[in-house]
Amino acid sequence: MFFKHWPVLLVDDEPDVLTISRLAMKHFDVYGLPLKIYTAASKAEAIDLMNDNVEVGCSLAVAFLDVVMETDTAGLELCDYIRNDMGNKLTQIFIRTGQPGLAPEREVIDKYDINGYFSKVEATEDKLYSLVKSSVRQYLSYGMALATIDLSNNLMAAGASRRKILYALSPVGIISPEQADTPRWLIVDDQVLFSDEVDADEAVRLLEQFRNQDGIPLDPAGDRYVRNEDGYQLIQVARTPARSEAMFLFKSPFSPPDIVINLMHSFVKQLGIAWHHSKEED
Amino acid sequence: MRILLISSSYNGLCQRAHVELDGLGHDISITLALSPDDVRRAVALFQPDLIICPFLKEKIPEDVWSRHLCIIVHPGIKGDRGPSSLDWAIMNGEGEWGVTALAAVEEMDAGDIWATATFEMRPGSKASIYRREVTRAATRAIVETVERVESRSFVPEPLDYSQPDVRGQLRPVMKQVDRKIDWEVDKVETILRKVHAGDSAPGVLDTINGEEYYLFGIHEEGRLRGWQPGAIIAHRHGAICRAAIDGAVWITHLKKKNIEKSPFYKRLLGRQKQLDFKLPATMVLRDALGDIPESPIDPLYMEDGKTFKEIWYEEQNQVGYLHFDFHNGAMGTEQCRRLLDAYRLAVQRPCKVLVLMGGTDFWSNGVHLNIIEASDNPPNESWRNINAIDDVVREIITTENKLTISSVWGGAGAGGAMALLAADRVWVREGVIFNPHYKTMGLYGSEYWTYLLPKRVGPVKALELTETPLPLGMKKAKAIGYIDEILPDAFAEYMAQLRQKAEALAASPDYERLLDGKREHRQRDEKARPLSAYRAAELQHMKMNFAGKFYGGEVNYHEARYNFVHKIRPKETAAYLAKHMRLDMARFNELRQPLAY
Repeated sequence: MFFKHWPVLLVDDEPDVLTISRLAMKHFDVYGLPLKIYTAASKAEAIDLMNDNVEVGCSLAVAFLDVVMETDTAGLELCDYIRNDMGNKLTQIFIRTGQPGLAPEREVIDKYDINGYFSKVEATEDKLYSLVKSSVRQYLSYGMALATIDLSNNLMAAGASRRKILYALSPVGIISPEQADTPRWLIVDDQVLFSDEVDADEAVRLLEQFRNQDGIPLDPAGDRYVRNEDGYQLIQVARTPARSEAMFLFKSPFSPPDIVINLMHSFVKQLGIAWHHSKEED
Repeated sequence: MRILLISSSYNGLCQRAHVELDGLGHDISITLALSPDDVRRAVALFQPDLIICPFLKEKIPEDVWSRHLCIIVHPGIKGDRGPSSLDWAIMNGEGEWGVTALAAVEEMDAGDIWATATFEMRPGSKASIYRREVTRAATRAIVETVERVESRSFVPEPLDYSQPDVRGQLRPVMKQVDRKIDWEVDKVETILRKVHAGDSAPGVLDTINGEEYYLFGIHEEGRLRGWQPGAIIAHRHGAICRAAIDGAVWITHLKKKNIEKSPFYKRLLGRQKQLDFKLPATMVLRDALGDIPESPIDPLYMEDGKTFKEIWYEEQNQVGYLHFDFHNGAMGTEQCRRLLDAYRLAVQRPCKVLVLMGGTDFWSNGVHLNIIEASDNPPNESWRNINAIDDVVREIITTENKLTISSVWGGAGAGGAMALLAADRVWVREGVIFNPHYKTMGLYGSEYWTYLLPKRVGPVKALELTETPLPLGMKKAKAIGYIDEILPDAFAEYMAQLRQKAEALAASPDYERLLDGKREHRQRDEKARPLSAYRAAELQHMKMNFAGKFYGGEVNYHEARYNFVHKIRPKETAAYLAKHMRLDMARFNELRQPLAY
């Protein structure tokens, strides 16, 4: 939810293919965000780039890999490196080959954990557009789902300890330096969490604004999603006898799709329940 | 006895005292001297039999020292008093120095003397002497004091300057005017002493290109010369070489003077990076270096001339010794890459055993937090650094053509304490302290620790060591299998025994069998779970530490790193040290304040 662009990696040993692909993708956007295109001319160069650049190493949304580069199977080995050596199951990987005979589609799909296969002849601008768009959507949904599960596990492990809950929430409730322009707050029972480390007054001001604004109902208990025109968004979970009121207020450069809103809603609901059952001091 | 340690920070000496006294069966609690009330509260809650202050810059409240025996560990000989003890000892070229354990009284360092220990001085920085000689002598003095207090019969010696063995005197705080280098007059030997006396704090204030900087990390240069004293004549691996009237010296680190410190949150919003902490000299000077030439040296340097070198190699009787002496044990990306190159060259050498010597003060402390903090993109630099250090560790683990030994003379922490396990054998000096955990830095950790550590100590101990950020002494380390051998505490004996044992291993009739066994073991491990899978899983966690983007990013590491680099003191003593706070184990996981190591 806090991406500023979608990192895409193109690996091909033909400079023309890289240039043309880069040009074709230059104006693509997904959820209103541009792509940030990284290129490498070989498997080795791509690996160096992944080890050298945290965005390519950690947050790559999509990768298009040529097969035949320094060896006949360099691209496939690179796919294996991304999936197994990097442990990255999230990036959407497409194999793009100029010599399908050397890497037949069925064989490649069966053997490698890829998301698609196409020949360079098929690689029209429209084809790239549809692949990029659908794969970024997939990447975001899948990534949010994994991150939600991770948070849920941490909340569950925190048990009834409020201190532990706060520790589990710190990656969400406190902004990291490079994300200062996408602030976010967690508010439980009218209390801004981590208030000495975030701008709590700003959260109170925004909540006041959101109070009378219409939102999208998320469930019959009164939970809702609200977004204002400045990009600030609120997932609000209403108080019930079984849970505290919990809110996730954040600024994101784009409007999330329904599935992402639902995932965030489930996290905030879980926070409301965990908080309700926790104690100040353990 | 119930012993309360009061310390300005949980530094190496305090850790050593903690480990030693704990090992002797005493009940230890620690409080940082953050305020007089903190100290009073700790004393009231813990009700100690004895208070020891291994490293204290603050004054103990009178109501504490007047009711409890408080032992101050003073880094000076009998009769020496004042806050710049070691600085003066180095500056004055003392041949012998010492540590005195004395009772706290109203007048600074003037109380009764409970124990004293002396040592021979050597050329070296204040920090280095503190970490080695002072820490060793202080540990002796502390243990002796505790025994004497326990005996109840010992009568401490009042400070009496008429006694012939009381050679020390009251000395004032050393000021910058005392430290100042006059490049037109001072010879290399004087410049070395001046910088050594202020290293690592406060540094010698000097002017370079019209700007004021504190100087750190000095090394004599034997070959390069320049006409204008003080002028920069070369650079190498982040250090600058400056001409002197009778030679030249290398300065490895600089710190810019007079920049206002700002809290983490303000810096976050301010976006203005302030490099007001110690960094490699060329990183601080940047463009001001102009066209000063680089003075390169071999990646596997084997000469013994005087110059600045971080990595060097020697070989004797089929044993190779690879030294990597990085300032404070911090290994930045480029340093790791140079070490990897040097390691690969060393592995090709015709010797049977390769000893990884580390540095004189630290074997390694893992990634270079100051360089990361100073970089334009800290998450990116963190990622580069962790990958670079992982590459070195992988190379050591997968070395098949010789036996490897990690020989640890200095301390090791975080990734460094894990990386040393990559070798086939781990031999460590007796007084070394490891900090085999990442938690105080808000990191999950890499360096293949999830493979290396449980393999040696088992999963339960591995979890205990990494989850509870306590220092580990070598007796315990050996008992749990973390290390193989303990070597003597004194340098000459340590080196002699290391050489003898390494050569014996190289000449062993079992050598080939051991090498085959090592290869088979590695193959078995690789089959069970490839090394790449361990690294991938560790880096998946680190990813969140460095650059989480779905729900936000892990801020703990960035904040902890900022506090560490800017030496921001914690707000309270960590729960796992302050036993008197009676906090339970569950809270160990909730630390957000790093320690000031």
